[in-house]
Amino acid sequence: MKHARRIAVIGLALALSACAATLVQPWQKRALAMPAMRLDGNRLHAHYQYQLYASREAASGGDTVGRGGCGCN
Amino acid sequence: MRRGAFRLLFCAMAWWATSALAVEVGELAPAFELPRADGSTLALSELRGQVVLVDFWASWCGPCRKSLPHLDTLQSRYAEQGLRVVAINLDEVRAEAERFLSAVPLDIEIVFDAIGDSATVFGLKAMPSSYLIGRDGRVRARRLGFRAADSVDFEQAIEQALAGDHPP
Repeated sequence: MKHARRIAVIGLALALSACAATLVQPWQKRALAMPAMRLDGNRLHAHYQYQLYASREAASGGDTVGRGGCGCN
Repeated sequence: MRRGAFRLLFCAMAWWATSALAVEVGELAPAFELPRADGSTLALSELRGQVVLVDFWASWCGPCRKSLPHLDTLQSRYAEQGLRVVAINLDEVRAEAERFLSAVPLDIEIVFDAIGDSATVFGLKAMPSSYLIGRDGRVRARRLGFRAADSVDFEQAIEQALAGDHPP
């Protein structure tokens, strides 16, 4: 019983390491480099949205330099 | 005891996952033979005895697009002294590479490797990557990525290779 569990754990570890071995090589990142893969969709729109968020929620700072909170810079 | 065995297993897994061997400075450059746009092939062995700059690029890679015109100027600057620039295109979609090349005309040698075998044998770690290969076929310098500002060291390596100095 104890033996079977040990084999199961080692088998699981090997199976997981097989996932780790399927690396995406640097030259295979065409799809990842596409604009559709951006987390924020459109850079300009994301900037606009952040501007609103920072000024209306007084949530300025944290990710970049601090700002006044007036939404004007 | 048991914990030690697990640690060993973990190390083995980590090694296995990252075991793609990269070509280092001082090693012989792996051979490749790839087609040009006109269908003729170019083998690295044909260029033995010359200083060769092998660059890996793709049209979807922003820094690569910036580096190619830079390589073109390097070629024109050092052509008389015997520098040959070979840019290996790794686009999976050939048409995308051709669209870029028609927009940005280049004088350097462009060869195409859609499968990426040449990148595999070089153990490419970044896009773009440049390898400077000396007259003896050994890698003299390697540049990962591209920033116009830090290409001074690389140009120095090119000049040394052309002058026939031994690498430091």
